Amino acid sequence: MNEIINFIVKDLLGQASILIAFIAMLGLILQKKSTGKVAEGTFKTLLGFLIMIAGINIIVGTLTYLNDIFTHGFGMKGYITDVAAIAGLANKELGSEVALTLMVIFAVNIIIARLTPWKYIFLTGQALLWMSTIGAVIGYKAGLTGAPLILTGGIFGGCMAVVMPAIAQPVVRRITGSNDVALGHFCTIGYLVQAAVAKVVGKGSKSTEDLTLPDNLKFLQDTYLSMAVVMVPMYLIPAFAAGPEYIAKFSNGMNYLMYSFMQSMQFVAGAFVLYSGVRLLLNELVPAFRGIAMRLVPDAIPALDCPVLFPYAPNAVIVGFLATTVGSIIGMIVLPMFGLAMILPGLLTNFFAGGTAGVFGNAIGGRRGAVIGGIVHGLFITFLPAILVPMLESYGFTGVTFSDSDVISTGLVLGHAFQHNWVFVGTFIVFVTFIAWFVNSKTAKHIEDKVHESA
Amino acid sequence: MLKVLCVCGCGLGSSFAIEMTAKSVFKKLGIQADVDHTTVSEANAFKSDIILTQKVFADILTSDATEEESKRVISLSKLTDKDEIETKVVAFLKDQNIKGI
Repeated sequence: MNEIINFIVKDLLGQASILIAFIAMLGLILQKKSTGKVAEGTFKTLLGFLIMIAGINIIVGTLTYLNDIFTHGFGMKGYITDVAAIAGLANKELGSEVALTLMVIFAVNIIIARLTPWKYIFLTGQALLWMSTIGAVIGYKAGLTGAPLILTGGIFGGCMAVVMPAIAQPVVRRITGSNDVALGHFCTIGYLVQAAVAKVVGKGSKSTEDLTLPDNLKFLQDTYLSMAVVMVPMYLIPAFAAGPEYIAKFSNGMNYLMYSFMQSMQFVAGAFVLYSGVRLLLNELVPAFRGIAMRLVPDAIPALDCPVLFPYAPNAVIVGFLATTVGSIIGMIVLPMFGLAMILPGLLTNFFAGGTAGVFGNAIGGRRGAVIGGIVHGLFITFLPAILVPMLESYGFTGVTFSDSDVISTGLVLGHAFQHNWVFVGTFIVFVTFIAWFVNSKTAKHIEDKVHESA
Repeated sequence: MLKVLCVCGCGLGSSFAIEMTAKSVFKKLGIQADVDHTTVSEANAFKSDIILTQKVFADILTSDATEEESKRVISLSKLTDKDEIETKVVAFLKDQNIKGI
């Protein structure tokens, strides 16, 4: 008997891929899908998890190489910010805990939306996955296991899933002109920082949408293409610094620059595989969550991924992306001078978070808001991972760090709370509350004005 | 069966949002459709009858497509507006004389 229980608990449910497939199966059964559909969905979820892990294995290989040549070439460590990469790493170790934390986040989100006036249902699956990852990682490394671990990350994450869309909503209403959708993307604190700066500098500045941007920037919209554009120099420059002799021991006779180029492409390929896995993994979970949530919270406002805002200000997306990249490059150079880690600009975040932040900046402070706010945003999202690095390092993660600002904030707040560093926790919460208040204080009035105008 | 592809940059978030909306629209219209979501990089690698996406990605997908191919790319201004998807899809199907409505 004991053996059977042991088999179920350890071998079956201990396998994160199996556990998450079971969760998907439960969701499918609750939606009363046909047997064939249930089997298909369960199987695909299982497959998705394994593909995600395969992707992370590819990335880890090339990342280790980059770390080596970077350290050798520049005498210091560089950190790649890629939330998916670090989440994949954590999932290899803590997959089951992350999966269960995700379930608790779903549940807490529904409960809060049901009981409070904040009717946001967070539907961006991958963002919730990153949120449950950081919750599980920080809790686990602070010594929590089992139910306390899952509940801590889950309840905090569930609150974030409602609070973050809520504090962004006044600006989102202003961008979209309606209250139908909310923004569900855990980079909200960064957006508010940009919006706050835009508010200070942007008085009377014209909208970015009156600009005509060159067409050839459009290829940047293709995520993997733009990732490749940045990863190539990210590998070639350190390779140049490290020199051919050092790289010879990796490259097996291939030219050192060619080898580094291939490694950078390998990184992009790994990211492609990783994201394909995440896509399969979430395919059944998100509709199930959505179906259940919409039934329990009839007047729910879906919080969706950031590109929902892109059509409202496509120029601001490009401007925000470029400005954020400038800011993150400045941050990469300046922060190490203050003894912080060197954070290499993460293109995915720069594009999605930077683009959305640009839309926020433009909505509040026009072109100046999008440009100056964007540079500050770039600095901010480089600063946050830099102060998280010491914590991650003490947990054994090197070379890669989280990227999305709300996810990092969760890590910082929970991590410092576990270390009883309440001053940091308090200051951070006050800071976020302040910028949320500052951005939204007069925005509310603007919306009223807008309504009057259109009426 | 109609093959519908929803497309965005990363193939994770907003294409999925379109997919969920589109599925309920096709259900309402009573059209059998196989709806899936993917990245803009992969979109042209799959055979599809309709592509639903945002303007920026529609521009990429139609940039060197023939006129006939471009027609199937439907550009949406709101990702989760059922009425918009319904209107545009119905107009496309009528134009193409595809049965099912």
